[in-house]
Amino acid sequence: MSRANAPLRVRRGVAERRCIVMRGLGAAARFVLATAPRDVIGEEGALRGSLLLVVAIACAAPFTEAVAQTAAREPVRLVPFEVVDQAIPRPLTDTPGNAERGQRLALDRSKGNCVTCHELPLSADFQGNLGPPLTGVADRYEPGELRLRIVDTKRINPDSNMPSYYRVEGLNRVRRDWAGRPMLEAQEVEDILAYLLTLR
Amino acid sequence: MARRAAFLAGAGAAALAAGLALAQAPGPAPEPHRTITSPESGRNYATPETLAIQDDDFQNPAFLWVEEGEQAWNHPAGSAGQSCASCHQDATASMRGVRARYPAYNAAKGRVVTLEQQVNICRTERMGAPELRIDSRELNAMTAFIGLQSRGMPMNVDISGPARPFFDRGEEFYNTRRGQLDMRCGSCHEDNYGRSLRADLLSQGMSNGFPTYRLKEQRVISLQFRLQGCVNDVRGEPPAMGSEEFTNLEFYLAWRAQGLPVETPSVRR
Repeated sequence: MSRANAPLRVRRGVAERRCIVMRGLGAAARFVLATAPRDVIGEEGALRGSLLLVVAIACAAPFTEAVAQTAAREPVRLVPFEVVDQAIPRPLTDTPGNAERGQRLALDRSKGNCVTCHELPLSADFQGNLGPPLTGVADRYEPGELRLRIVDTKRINPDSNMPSYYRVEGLNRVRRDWAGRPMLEAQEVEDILAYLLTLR
Repeated sequence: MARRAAFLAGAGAAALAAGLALAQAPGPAPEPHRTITSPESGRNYATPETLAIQDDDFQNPAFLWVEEGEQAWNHPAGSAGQSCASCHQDATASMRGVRARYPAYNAAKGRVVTLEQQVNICRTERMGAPELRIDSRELNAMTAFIGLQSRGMPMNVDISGPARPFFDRGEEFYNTRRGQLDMRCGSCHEDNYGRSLRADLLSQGMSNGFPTYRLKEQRVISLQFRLQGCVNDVRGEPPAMGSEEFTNLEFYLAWRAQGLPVETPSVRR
């Protein structure tokens, strides 16, 4: 539990610090306006004072946004992709997938974790069998078909128990530390796909 | 002829009215759908090593909790100066069968309560003692001791009448996909029992052995602690232990295990 909550606490800490900076800027602007002698302010002075205030607000705006995002947990924006004939023909990123990295991600419990449900042709202490073995999967599917199966396999079979690795919408009561984030980054999807394409 | 037609029409109308009245009368709710018709205890999915520990009361570490629970049973607690035994006397007689029929509808509370909650109701309302925290060592000791008195008896919760809406809500929770992994309880425990998640053999998720000594935790755990673990594993936001949601779910789970012998205190991986 404590591990699960840690990232949230860290993020909150950052947000709080930003909040303090923002408040500081606002206070400074108010201080300048309040303490400047009347004759210095004059018409031009008032203008300069307001400008300072505007600058302070502009500086603070990104921080305010960060604070709001932490509170409301806006879903991160995913790389747009197009589904054609039960496949995503085009890669999600410009960098080609790295099969070596993909294999590591397929074994990593906090990432792809493929081996928990699927058998892979490599030595792992234990391999799951909820899903079909992935040996020869590159012979059975086109790259684009495999990409969609990693990204959101429920678009092919809504009853599937396989998680959608690149989806943030339409999920129910996601744990706070994962809310609004996909299971894999776009490049990680491409890396795992590159690894799967070696399984012939 | 005309008189006969009038009679027939009248009789027809009466029959129709009677039929309508019958259709409107509140009948018993239909028997809920059973996905698993012959439930299997988690012991069928445990290793022989684990079962050897469970099947020997002298080896089973949960009996340390049982002994603590027995001591607490006889020990007065709270402002009323009463112990459990003051009202319920000999637990081996008075508590026999209790674990098998809990969670149960509590008319005074107007809702279903778990065995843990019933112990706390006794403590606060009869004994003048503070509630025990759900899944605390003291409360797990008490429910392990009470549960043991029903060992071998078939699970037999009553979901009829006023209990039914709580059961229905528990069933809905069970069947609702949740978390980042977007799974329902049945994704593992109905669709995939007998298959492996890495080294873990998936069981049917039957609750008849709880509270259980969990080797991973090295302690006796309550069912709702385990439920939090499941929700957490699918990266869902788990309800609090003792919450209405988990209580209704525990009620539904008990019904799923209907007929299985109580194994409290079991031992699991």
